[in-house]
Amino acid sequence: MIDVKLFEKILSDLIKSESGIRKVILVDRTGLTIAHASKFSYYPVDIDGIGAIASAVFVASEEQGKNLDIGELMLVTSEFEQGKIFAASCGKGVLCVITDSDVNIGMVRLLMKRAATELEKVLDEFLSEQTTLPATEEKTREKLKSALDKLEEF
Amino acid sequence: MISQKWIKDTIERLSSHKGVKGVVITSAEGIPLSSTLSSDETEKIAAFVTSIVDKAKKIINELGTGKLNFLTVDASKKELLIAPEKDYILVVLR
Amino acid sequence: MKKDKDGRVHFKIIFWGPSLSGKTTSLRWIYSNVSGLSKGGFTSIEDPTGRTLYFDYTPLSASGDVIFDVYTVAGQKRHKHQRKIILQGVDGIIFVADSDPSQLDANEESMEELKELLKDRLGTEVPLVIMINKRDLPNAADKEEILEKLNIATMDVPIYETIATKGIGIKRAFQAIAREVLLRKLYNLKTMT
Ligand SMILES: Nc1nc2c(ncn2[C@@H]2O[C@H](COP(=O)(O)OP(=O)(O)OP(=O)(O)O)[C@@H](O)[C@H]2O)c(=O)[nH]1
Ligand SMILES: [Mg+2]
Repeated sequence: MIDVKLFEKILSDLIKSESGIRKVILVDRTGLTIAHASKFSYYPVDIDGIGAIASAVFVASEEQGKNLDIGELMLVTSEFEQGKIFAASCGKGVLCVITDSDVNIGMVRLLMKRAATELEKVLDEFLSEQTTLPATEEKTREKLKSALDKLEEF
Repeated sequence: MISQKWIKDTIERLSSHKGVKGVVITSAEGIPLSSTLSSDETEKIAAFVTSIVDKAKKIINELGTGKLNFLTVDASKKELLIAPEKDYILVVLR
Repeated sequence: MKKDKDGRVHFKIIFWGPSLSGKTTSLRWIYSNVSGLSKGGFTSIEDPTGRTLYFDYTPLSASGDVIFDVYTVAGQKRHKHQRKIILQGVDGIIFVADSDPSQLDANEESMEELKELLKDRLGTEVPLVIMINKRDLPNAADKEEILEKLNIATMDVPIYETIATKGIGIKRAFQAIAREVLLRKLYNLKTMT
């Protein structure tokens, strides 16, 4: 079983290594938020919603690249008045970094590239375990059964 | 202002000096503009030099010692000469 | 089905159907009116007229450790690429058909596209539930006529007549797809309908 703390460690190392980074999110290509880390959580944000958009935007850009036949997508940068969003491919996932507007872009790219290589490996393992886990696993079955019972109640 | 021509001339001029091992010009945001080195090395230098320039500027600001003109990083194998300008940073490896 | 790093199980459910058939209205109704479901935020990417441009998304959960990530797609024809992207990783589909007689062909086209994208996984690996929406329209088309156009007679799918604006039938349709999806995973079976 893969240690999910590894995700957290890679993400929090990334966030700590550059002062301008506010938030890091790891999503898969179907919109699911797998892990995230934040520097300031003063105000609540809807991480799952942000992750869903991050994934959809990245995959849409990828699709656009295919339509235009300009190769693989490396990095999406979105610049806002008060911040920047970077998204990079990491194997089956997308790594998304939210920063201040005056951040050292070169550093963010470099750090993302490094983290992405690390994450790619961990993620591959994490996702390949999923295919072997389905309903045969007792704990999962219990969860699904209780969800089924709850369904009738709402 | 930085133009393609200016960048090209500067790189040529500096790298023709004796003992110069490489020249990198990066934007103030750490994005490499031009370089005589491999792209991996260039990216690394651009990122870290920008970071050290940002820190040095903060220090100078705190100490009230005016404007940052020049930085030298002297290491056992190489020396980095760093000239931070308004829109770009010029780095010479020696 | 997927697990996140906290061990919660996720299922992706998608409201599919032609533009203006009532997908967003349905999901919003569930989001604001169904009690007993814990909810996250509601994310929408829509154009200035309120039509979906990319998707709506909200995570819904009845039991905490099983989460239904519910999406609606953009029904307008030109958003085909976006629909294809949202369809990635789908676990169950609620098809929202429009009862307006002028939309019979639009219903058909939308279903054809879905069949083309999911191939024989539709109705088997990916369960399907049909909502025949806007039953309140005075000139609503015949239920049989609508179903015939959808050409799903060979599939054994639950069908609900609904009015999304009033929330009629919506909860039951959602429960049906959630049940199908869970049972499929648990017993690898289809429910009796
Ligand atoms: N009369 C009636 N109108 C409905 C019903 N459901 C939805 N509508 C109306 O139909 C219009 C379109 O509804 P939406 O939910 O935005 O449609 P959609 O399927 O999300 O459309 P796209 O985002 O373009 O794919 C709105 O004006 C709704 O109020 C219904 O059951 N009866
Ligand atoms: Mg909509």
